[in-house]
Amino acid sequence: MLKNLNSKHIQRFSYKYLPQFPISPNSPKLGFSRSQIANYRSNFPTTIMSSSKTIVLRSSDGETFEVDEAVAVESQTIKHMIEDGCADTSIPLPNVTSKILSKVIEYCKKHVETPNADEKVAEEDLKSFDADFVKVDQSTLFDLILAANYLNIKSLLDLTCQTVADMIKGKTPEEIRKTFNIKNDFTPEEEEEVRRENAWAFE
Amino acid sequence: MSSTSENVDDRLSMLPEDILSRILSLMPTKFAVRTSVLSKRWRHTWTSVTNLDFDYTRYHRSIQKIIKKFVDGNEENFIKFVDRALKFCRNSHVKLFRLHVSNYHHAIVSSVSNWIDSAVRLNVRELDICVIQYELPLSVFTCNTLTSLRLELSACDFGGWELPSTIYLPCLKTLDIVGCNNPQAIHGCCPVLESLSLEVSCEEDFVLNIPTLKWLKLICTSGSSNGNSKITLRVPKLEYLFVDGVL
Repeated sequence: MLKNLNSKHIQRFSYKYLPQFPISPNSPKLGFSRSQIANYRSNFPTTIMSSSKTIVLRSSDGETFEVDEAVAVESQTIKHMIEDGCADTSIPLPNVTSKILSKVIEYCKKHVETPNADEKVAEEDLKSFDADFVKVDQSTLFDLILAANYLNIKSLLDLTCQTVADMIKGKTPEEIRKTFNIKNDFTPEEEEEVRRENAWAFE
Repeated sequence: MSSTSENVDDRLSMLPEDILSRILSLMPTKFAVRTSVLSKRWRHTWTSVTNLDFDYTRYHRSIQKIIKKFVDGNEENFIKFVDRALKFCRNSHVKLFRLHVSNYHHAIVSSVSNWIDSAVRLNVRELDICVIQYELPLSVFTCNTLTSLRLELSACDFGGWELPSTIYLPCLKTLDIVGCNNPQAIHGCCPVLESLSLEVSCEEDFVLNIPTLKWLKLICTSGSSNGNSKITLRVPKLEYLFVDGVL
């Protein structure tokens, strides 16, 4: 993500607000405090920083999505990017297509909007939203898993992984292979040996 | 075989290892291990699961909470299966270990203690045990990684768990015991306990003194003929209380 940052900004930043360790693309979260970032903003007014209200996300195919910051920070990845001051004009997400990103945003919006109430109605409503949300074709489901993983959205990752788990458990190996189009490359002898090793699992 | 399936990739097998491990951890271990036969790539994927969940029960609990004990001839295979799963588990910090057994075969009964001990040695965090016998390895009661413990007897003909006198569970936040003979043993041994669910036969008076407790469920099944025993609760931080049974 640091590769996408304008290198001019980094140079200016490093002279005045040098953190104690070198900035490199591989370094972990830079950890600038909010006051440091605010200082930076006031000293370099030409830098366009996004307002604290909305964030612009750019998908791999170039489409942009403007979302509330509260929704965007459901993703820990995006949250860290904002905290690190990498969110000037827009946040590029090269691993997520617009189709999937719009679905992810829909999920995050719903989960942020639903108050954290113990109210039964709100809980039921969210559960039924989640159940409908994963009624998609396999390809979209796997894309959502990978996006949730990359964007670090725990609840979405749990939801999508549980959906796949429910498609696996209870099925025979033949049924699983058919569902997911897995090619069996065991010889009959090898397969027999694997089945024998864990006999109880196949009863 | 329809022609459309030829153009569809096997995207499941192409997922990163840590995501597959996450998916396989969301199902009973029996089904996770079944994936070992899908293809060569899948042979050892299950060994990275974070949860070990073994269920060898035949009947669900009826309203009267009676589970029929059974012996069905698959005991040897089950024992081999659990032994192997514990041996090949690559995770040295297991999140959940669940063992539900209502099979009454003596070979299983003698293995259960070893299995639970193995789970403790794998630094288990959540333990959920529902078995036929009363003996548990003492290591369970001094396990310093345990955050959640659930104990139940799968055949409630008689008796209950007899807790040892030396219990010290420094990380335990949730404790659920169904069928406890000596609840006073809990006193002082769980310094951060927040949630407690106890099903006790109230034969004697006892005191529950847990300053950190927020959630308490107490079910008193009728004990001996003199049903007037006293329970004292010293739980200043309590937010939720549920009480049921014969008091």
